[in-house]
Amino acid sequence: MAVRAQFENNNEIGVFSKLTNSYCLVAIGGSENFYSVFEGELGDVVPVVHTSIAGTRIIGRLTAGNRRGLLVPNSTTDQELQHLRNSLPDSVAIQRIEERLSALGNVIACNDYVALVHPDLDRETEEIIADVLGVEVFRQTIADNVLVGSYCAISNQGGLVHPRTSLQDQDELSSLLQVPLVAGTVNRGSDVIGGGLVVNDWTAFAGLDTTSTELSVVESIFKLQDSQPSAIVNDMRDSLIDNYS
Amino acid sequence: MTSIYNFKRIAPVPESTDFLDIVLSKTQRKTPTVIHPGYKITRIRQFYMRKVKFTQETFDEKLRQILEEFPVLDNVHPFYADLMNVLYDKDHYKLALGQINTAKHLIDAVGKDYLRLLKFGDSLYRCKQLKRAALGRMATIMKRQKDSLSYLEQVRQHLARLPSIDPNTRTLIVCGYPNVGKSSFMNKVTRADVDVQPYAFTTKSLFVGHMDYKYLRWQVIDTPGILDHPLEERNTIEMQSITALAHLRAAVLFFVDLSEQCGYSIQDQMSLFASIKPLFANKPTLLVISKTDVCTLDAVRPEERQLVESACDSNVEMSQLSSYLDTGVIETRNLACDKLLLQRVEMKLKGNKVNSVLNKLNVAQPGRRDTVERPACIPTAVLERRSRQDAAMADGDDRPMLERDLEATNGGAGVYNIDLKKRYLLASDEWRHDVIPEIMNGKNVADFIDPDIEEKLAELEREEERLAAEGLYDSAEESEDEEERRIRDVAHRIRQRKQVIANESRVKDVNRATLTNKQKAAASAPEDFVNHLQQLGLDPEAAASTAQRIGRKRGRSESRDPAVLLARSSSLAARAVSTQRDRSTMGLKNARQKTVSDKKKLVSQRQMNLMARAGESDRKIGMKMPKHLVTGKRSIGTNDRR
Repeated sequence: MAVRAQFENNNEIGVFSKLTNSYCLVAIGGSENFYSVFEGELGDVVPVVHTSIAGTRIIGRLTAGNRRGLLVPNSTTDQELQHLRNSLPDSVAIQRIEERLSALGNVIACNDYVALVHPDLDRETEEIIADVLGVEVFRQTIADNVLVGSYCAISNQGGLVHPRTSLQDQDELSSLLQVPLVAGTVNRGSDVIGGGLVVNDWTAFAGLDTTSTELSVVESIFKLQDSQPSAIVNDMRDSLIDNYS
Repeated sequence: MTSIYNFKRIAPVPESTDFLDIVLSKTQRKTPTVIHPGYKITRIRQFYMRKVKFTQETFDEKLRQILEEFPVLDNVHPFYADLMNVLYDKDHYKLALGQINTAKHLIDAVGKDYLRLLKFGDSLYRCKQLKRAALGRMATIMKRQKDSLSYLEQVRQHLARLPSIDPNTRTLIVCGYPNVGKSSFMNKVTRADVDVQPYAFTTKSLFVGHMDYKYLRWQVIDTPGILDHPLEERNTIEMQSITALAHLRAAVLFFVDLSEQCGYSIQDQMSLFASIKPLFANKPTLLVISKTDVCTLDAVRPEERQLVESACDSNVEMSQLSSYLDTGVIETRNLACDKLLLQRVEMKLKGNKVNSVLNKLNVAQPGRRDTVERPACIPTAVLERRSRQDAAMADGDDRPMLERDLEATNGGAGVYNIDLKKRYLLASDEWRHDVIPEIMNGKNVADFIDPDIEEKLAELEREEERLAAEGLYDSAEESEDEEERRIRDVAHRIRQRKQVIANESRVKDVNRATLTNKQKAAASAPEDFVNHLQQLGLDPEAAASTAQRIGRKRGRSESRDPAVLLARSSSLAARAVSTQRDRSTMGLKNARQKTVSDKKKLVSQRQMNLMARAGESDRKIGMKMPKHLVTGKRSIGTNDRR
């Protein structure tokens, strides 16, 4: 199911949260409204954890992770690391990474099996990603953007990429990730997919500005609530054409 | 959804009298008000010219604002242009704006004329009269615009209340005879609350409602009823419907009331349909039979039924509904929307804009690159939770207590403090709130978070020892051969020598008295010279003997010590005693010269001393009028007490 949410009047919820199949991280805000959106959806299934990274709230952009692990940047404090270790189940490995590109969420896009990373990432970091997250790592760009984590959202069931991704790139990325992909927008036409959308295998959260067309594309491509990606090609085709062109 | 046609932002147009008050009081406020006949005539002229100029500019600005804000009929969408023609009469509207424009030009001309005249004003009185005349003429021009202004104000108010119709979006237009159930349908499909009454012409203008269908936003326009008569005889209310039908690319729903409750026969309604059919060209059209709860198509007489059915062709479909019973309403809506959407998509596919959205319509399916299965990972708890939620929804159960509810009950945002440790996953729940020190015995606890860190460290050290024992680290030095050692030795000496030179020069550069070369030479012994030569690797023998021959005078004793010689050297002895000299005599040859210069100094300082000045550059003015000297009683007619 796809839900709309907003973090303190900001629609870029992917900046303030990180969602995986085994845990969810949420920034500490002024009120609990944002946290409770996640808690209400995921509450008793996976831990929903309040946290800061390096004292900031932009945890979604600073961390990368999946079911098996969580990567945090070097600037994470010892206390935050301990808090995360205590809050997350033991099956999730937590690793602090020495990497010049410290906004790991922007430079790494991953599901439980494959990760796309920034072409300039360290070789060591690449190895750590492969070990900790248990994924195959590919250096890639999305629509000529090196910030792969910002311009796409992927789960084990599907993926949404930057609206200007060419058909060829789409096919290439799709065969790397082994999931169906579609180009699209969130937050009423924003191309920063990673910023406006967080998704796992059974839920998605999008910014409050996301239109119903965008949201139904999200539901279809990520196979939420029994909808299938083929719906985009069949049922929604007319609406999409009329909406976008 | 923002429409580009926002007429709500036009500023109010004041009445002509108000207009005058506004402009004249602004002139009064923003220009100088004090003038005297004694002023220079140029200043008086300039004062009045400024008033005239300012008034003219203010009028100009205000009128220009009106002209710019009101929509120009040729530039807006034809739908709005026609609607405004119907509602406000295009000629009248253009005339009013034209008159305002003329008034603006006239006022500009008056201002210009009187400025020219004011240049020749030769007294305050004349200038003032010229100003009065200028402002009076401007006021007269404005007063003549009374009707135009009040008309424009009415137009503005009406425009601001027009529904904001976007002419380019997906639209359904509901039309038909009065009282056939158009507004009822509108109220059913949208959230617009249109007045529905059992008499004709309840709806007197266009109404807009919005609805969602197929993830898209649609606008529904409810039009006033139309009667079947020639276009020229139609009144304003009907003409609004015609305008909407003529200019909006929309799906048309033509409502027909078979029960004839509306007071018009089926023949009348069908002949209206036939007469306005040209307006439906290229638009998906639905012939909607309304009020099926009262009368259906089967219940009417065969010839009338024949009439209705003949109206339907390839372009026109029939649909039946009853807003009262809520049957067929949604079906009708969906039918109309689908037809319109199909048409719009066909149109767009013909254009080239669609190429840019092709990737949004294409789902890239992966080709298999290996045999690894990558299944989705959905915990069973999710499925359980879903079924439980459905059950809870059916039962009407309360939702679980969330953090937000806790916050609300504990003082709200800003007061409530979240408990970050509440959900820690530890071996024992009692440990959750245990306090763990961050620093212990001078060590960061976080560095020892790993339980076997000591063991790992010990192992690393053991490995290191082993490697050292195996001689991993001393192999590097043995590889040095003879040649390399020589080079290393030379390099070391070079470095040392460089260091010495640097130190010496650093000592030499110190800002203090140093020995002259001559003194140094006197102080140095011939042995130093020999040593130096030896250091340079030269043979000192010849040079030393020569030096001895030249440098030494024959004395009585051959055993005289060089140090003694140094002490006796006269030049050094003179330097050893420091003398203090009188600076006042410096640069002067003798005592006479000094008396002359002293006298000259006194003379040159006399003026400064008289003025109590420190020197030539002292120009300080303490106080111009000391209060104690210029105030006080003047009983005898003066305050000069000195």
